[in-house]
Amino acid sequence: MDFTFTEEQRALQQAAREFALREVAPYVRDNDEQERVPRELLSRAAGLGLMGGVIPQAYGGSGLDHVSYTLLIEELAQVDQIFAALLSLPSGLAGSGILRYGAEEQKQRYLAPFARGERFGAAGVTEPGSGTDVAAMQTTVTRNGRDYILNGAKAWISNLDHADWFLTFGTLDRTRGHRAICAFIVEKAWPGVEVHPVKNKTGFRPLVTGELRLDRVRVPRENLVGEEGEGFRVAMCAVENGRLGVAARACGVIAACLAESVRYARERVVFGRPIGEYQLIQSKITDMVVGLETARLLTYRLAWLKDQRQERLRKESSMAKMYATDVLMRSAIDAAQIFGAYSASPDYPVSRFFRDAKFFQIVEGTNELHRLLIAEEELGLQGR
Amino acid sequence: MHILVCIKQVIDQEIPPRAFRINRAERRPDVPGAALVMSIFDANALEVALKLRDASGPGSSVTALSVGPPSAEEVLRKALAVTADRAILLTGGLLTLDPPTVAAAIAAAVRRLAAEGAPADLILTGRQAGDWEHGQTGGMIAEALDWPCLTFVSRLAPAEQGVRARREVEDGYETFLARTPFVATVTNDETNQLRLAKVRDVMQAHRRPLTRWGAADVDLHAPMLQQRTEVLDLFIPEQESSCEIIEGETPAGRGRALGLRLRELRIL
Repeated sequence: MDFTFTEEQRALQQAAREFALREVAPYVRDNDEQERVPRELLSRAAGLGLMGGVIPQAYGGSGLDHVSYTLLIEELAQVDQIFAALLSLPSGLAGSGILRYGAEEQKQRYLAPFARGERFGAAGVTEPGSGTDVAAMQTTVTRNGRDYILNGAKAWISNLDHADWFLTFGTLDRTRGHRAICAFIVEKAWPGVEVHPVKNKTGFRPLVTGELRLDRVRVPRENLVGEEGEGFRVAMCAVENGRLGVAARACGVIAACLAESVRYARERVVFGRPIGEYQLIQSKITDMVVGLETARLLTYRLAWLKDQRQERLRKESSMAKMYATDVLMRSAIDAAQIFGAYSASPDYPVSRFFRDAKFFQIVEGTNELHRLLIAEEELGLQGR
Repeated sequence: MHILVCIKQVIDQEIPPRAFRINRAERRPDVPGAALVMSIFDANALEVALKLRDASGPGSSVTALSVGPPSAEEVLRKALAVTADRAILLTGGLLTLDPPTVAAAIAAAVRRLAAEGAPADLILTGRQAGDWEHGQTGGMIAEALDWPCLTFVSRLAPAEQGVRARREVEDGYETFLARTPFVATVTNDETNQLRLAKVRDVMQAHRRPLTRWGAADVDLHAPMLQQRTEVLDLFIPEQESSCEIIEGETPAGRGRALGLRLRELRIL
């Protein structure tokens, strides 16, 4: 079994690291404070091909294999996990559903400019009343001539500020559950579309997140993604592909927690010795080292399996996401403990790792949901 | 214009001091697992070359050349990733420790390029390597080829009768108009930080052919390959800091006591 990365993969990792250190690192703290990521910084990343991810070159992407993509996202997340999240959108939550189920015209019109960083997209599945229970969504879809009328609201949609369009979902018939769900691409500029960001969030601050309101929005038939009733599958594809990116980002932040903790443990002197010489600190460092290594193993194996063209990797996606984010939570808590009072100061990145860590266990499928998905598959029970 | 840039792979200069160790018996650094990177001034030289090529219009090209072990291929791939047109690795028994040997090897490669119909018009090196910092190789290449040499160049631009060069000096800079061929050693400034590579170019760089030459391929023979310098000792100096307080009742008294103490220590 060969666990080494190829030279090309290491070169890509190095290129991502250089970009992150030179162009992203100087602004991480300001972006967190001011709750935004400047669009021109995203454009610069896109200009280097960093948004193209696994999207094929024919659709404006970089055509990377999943392992290279994961390396890139992890490397960027070590510096700024929100920036990494935005770069992962075309390959993950916002773009993958269109890549798999979208018409050729939709891919050229929406996916390609997104992968190139010319126009941005986002995805809206969650609603105020339904997160985990996707099929219980209340946004209605009504046929109107050739077109559709969409009415309802989506909650906790990310990238509200930069997005020019949203991949979103509604139901033709609430009584038919997931079989009646349809997926659409809705443009922000259309009448009836409104965004309402949530301000002053605890974590994930530079990511503009909030409500997407659809007030009787007319959607042309050309913007239906897949067939009527296929929307649930589009949503599942979107969230499953998003999970690799989340796991990769979590690995990046764990690595950052570890690096910061090691640095500080060597410098901070208490009772005449660096705190790294005390066992209670060493124990926390060990947990981070082993946690990072195992989280990476699950994450990169998932990426590798995707490269082997395995179709449904629901269990592996859940395992990587759940495990990496649980390790992150523990690592962030331990890192904050190691830094002591300094973990409260915005001058120290540990404070941001700590604030962000909790939400990793909630987004893109709560870790409770993932526990159920893994067991159901293992037990051969009916899937969701 | 054909610009040749000489790049060297060195141990990452950014590793923490406590991680840097010397094998004193073998007189060499001992940092297993340390990252190997492109020497920083060589990266500046590469950027200067790329900018000059881009400003010179069609027909100009940049060739990256490295003298080193097989691992040096990595810095050549990096050069290709930032759009160098060609990469050459001079390897196989060629020593890298000694500026005269390296300069002889590079001059030999330049002669082979000329013989192949691809003569270099300009050779750039970093002003000094990131490891041994001799700062001599560029000048020695010029001597070997009988070309002029400009040192501490930070910028180059095409000019009607040659190349306009900006040379950094202690209290400012000088501007030269230089006719090719010549050698320039490059120092950093705000315009020549090496550009970031595009993802697509990084991927391409690993699929492009890389020229590999050994000593025989460039007509280098044993006498030219002998090292002219010998490292007698290599060590990390012990840094001691001790503090001695000079006592005295008055400032003048303490001054006198200091003077006597300095004489005792044979400093005065």
